[in-house]
Amino acid sequence: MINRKKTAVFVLALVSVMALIVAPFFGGSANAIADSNGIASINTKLIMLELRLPRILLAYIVGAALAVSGMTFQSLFKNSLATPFTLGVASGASLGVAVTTVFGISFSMLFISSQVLFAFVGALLAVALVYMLGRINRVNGAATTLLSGVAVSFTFSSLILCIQYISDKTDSYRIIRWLMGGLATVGYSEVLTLLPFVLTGLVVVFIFRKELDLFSLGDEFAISRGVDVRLVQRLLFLATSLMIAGVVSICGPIGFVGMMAPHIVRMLIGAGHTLLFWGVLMFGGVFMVFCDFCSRVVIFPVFIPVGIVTALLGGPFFVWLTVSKRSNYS
Amino acid sequence: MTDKIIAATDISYSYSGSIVLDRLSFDIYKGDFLAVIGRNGVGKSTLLKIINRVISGYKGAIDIYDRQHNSYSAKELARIIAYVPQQFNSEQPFTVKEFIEMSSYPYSSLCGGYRFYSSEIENAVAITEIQDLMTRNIATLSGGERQTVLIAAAIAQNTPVIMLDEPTSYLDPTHVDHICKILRNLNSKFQKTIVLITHDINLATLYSGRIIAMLSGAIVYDGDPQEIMNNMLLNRIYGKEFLFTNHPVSNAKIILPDLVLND
Repeated sequence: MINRKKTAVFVLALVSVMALIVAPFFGGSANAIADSNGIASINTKLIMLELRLPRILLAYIVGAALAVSGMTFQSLFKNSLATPFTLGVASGASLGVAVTTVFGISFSMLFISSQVLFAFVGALLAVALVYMLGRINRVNGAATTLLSGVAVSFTFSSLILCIQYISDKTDSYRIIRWLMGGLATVGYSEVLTLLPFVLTGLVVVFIFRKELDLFSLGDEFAISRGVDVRLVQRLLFLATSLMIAGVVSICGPIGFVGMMAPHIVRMLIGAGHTLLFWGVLMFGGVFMVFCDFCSRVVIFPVFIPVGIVTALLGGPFFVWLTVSKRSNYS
Repeated sequence: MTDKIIAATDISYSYSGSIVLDRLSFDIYKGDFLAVIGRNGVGKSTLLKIINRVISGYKGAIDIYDRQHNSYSAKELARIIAYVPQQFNSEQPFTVKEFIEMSSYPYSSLCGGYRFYSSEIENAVAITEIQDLMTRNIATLSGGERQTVLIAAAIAQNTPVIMLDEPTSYLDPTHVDHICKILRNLNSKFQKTIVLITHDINLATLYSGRIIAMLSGAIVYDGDPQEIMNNMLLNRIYGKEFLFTNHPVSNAKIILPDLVLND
């Protein structure tokens, strides 16, 4: 059984490498594909190396971050519908970014832009609210947590609408476009900006993989095995908020990846987070590269924001998860 | 060297304005097989949760091995007490083997994997006789099998004390017997201190060496199991009369089930 699980992780690693190598060759531009078979022109090289490759790298990193954040939330809240998106964390981060956009807040602190900083504060605020509301009703903790997340998400979304309403047309359009979630990049700057946040978050989550195993069996069970529940929960909330803030500040809120990836990978390789972490990370990355590919080629020359593609795929999955017995661990 | 493991003094706990525990004092000694009984809602589970730090915010003092309860780290405490909660989230696709291996968590380092002690796990599996279940998914186990696996995991945690919150509730007589045999074996053969919450008074009196009875958050009896078997005490604890008989093998006093006839 262990071998089967390790094989699944190995296959995902192979698919990841393949996706990163092959994906830049596919796109809306027919020239790029045609030229890649023969001698590449300067323009094709430019498109491949300066536009498509960074975009695909960004897609992979974003997918990995969202998927691992989803896995972490699902284990912490013992519910497979708990994700950064459904718990309002993405909305919190979005509100932070909307505030900086409309009020023209722009500064940098310790190499961190105001946009990321505000997104981080918004994400943390959402996590704290959902966590505290979930603890009020411990009997129906999981259900209360989910409903709190929906409420927080709606509240923050309403505040974003409010901000849009009072902003001018240009800012309003920027916010709408950005809320659709997109991976439009020019060069590697976005990749390099996002990487430290995601790497820090991933390292923290990986360090606490054993604790996540125990959390997924219940807080009381985790305590009985010697987990410092409050400390570890807070560190994991910080780590996931950091990743979500980074992703949202650059790409906008992208939903459903954090829900689908952990669920599918858990069915493939079980619940042990040592392997699950790597499986979810790679599946999330590959899935986002695939969604980005769809967003670029399905109705070329129009580029659909990738958030719309993930929502189109994730919506039916969410319904299936809700009506099936797999929706709730507790 | 004292044999006292846990010393609780004047433990009080309130929740939403109502008193759950009211100045409880008791000691637990090495080798005790202690059963805690009482009606629903008298604070038995709360007491175990406080000792295991699932609940905080109590008043009074708990010392473990003459050291303040709160001065232990979570892992240090889990190396002394293995706690078997009433419920856990068994829907996760862990195998029984993976589940039991998690018991080595209190001995693991921050960044490393589980510190795997094969001898302790083998020992726990042998005592509980769950060899055939090792590759099964915990979500597919029956109630009795799941409870046995939970106890195996607690044994694999390798602690001097094991605390169990109603481990035999909802189980069929075969599994109840099996679990009672395991607990008695752990106490007599392996010198484990057992603290058991149960609603089964017969089980408590037949297997334990000491009973604590609780009423409205306070201890009303702490002593020999056979001496509690009278209607003066049990009526006070449960608010009803019981019928008694003697066990045909051990001659110990046991309770007969009530026969409720239609009016």
